[in-house]
Amino acid sequence: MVRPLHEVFFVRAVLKKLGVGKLSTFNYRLKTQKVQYLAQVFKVSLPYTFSLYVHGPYSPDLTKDLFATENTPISAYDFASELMTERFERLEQFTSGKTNRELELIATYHWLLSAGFAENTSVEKFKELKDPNEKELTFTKEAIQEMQKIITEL
Amino acid sequence: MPRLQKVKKKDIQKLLPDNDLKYADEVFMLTRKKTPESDSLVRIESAIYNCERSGFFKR
Repeated sequence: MVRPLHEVFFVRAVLKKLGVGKLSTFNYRLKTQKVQYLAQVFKVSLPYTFSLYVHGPYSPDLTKDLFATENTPISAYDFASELMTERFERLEQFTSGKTNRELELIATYHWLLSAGFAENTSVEKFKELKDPNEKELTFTKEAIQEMQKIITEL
Repeated sequence: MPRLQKVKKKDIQKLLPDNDLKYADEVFMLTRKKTPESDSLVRIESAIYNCERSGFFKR
């Protein structure tokens, strides 16, 4: 999918506002991908198509667009609407302090549920893909519940 | 907010600097591309960001 340049800049502005979007290391890129995925779930950013890769949901188009515009500076942006500001703040709170592994677990489990798998099947596939320990499994389920609650409220 | 195809200029106007309708055409044009999963409000914000970025609102 070819996204117009002006939309790519908006996506980058949102990522920057969330403190991600750097591309120089694998960990930066991983975090950027997961935060963009969650930004779409929270309806804060424009949609990219994500597929499931080794480290969870990944969008090759997002990678391509970010690298293509890497050297173009972007402006800071305050959302015009209160609803978008609220969505953004809730997303920022949700992602704040979470490690890459935690973001990867949450995004992966959410992707499986969104793909239409039943909860039991999603859990099985999630275990197979991410090999979470009990603590991680509980954390992920609770995070998804929290996220769904927030989205319902918005 | 309504889906993209139901976006009205008055929805956009409310979010523009000084509620100025003279900018609504430009923003409306930038929101016209349909993406089913997209939220229309996100598209309007994206269009406003790009108008700000290009200096359009200062013209």
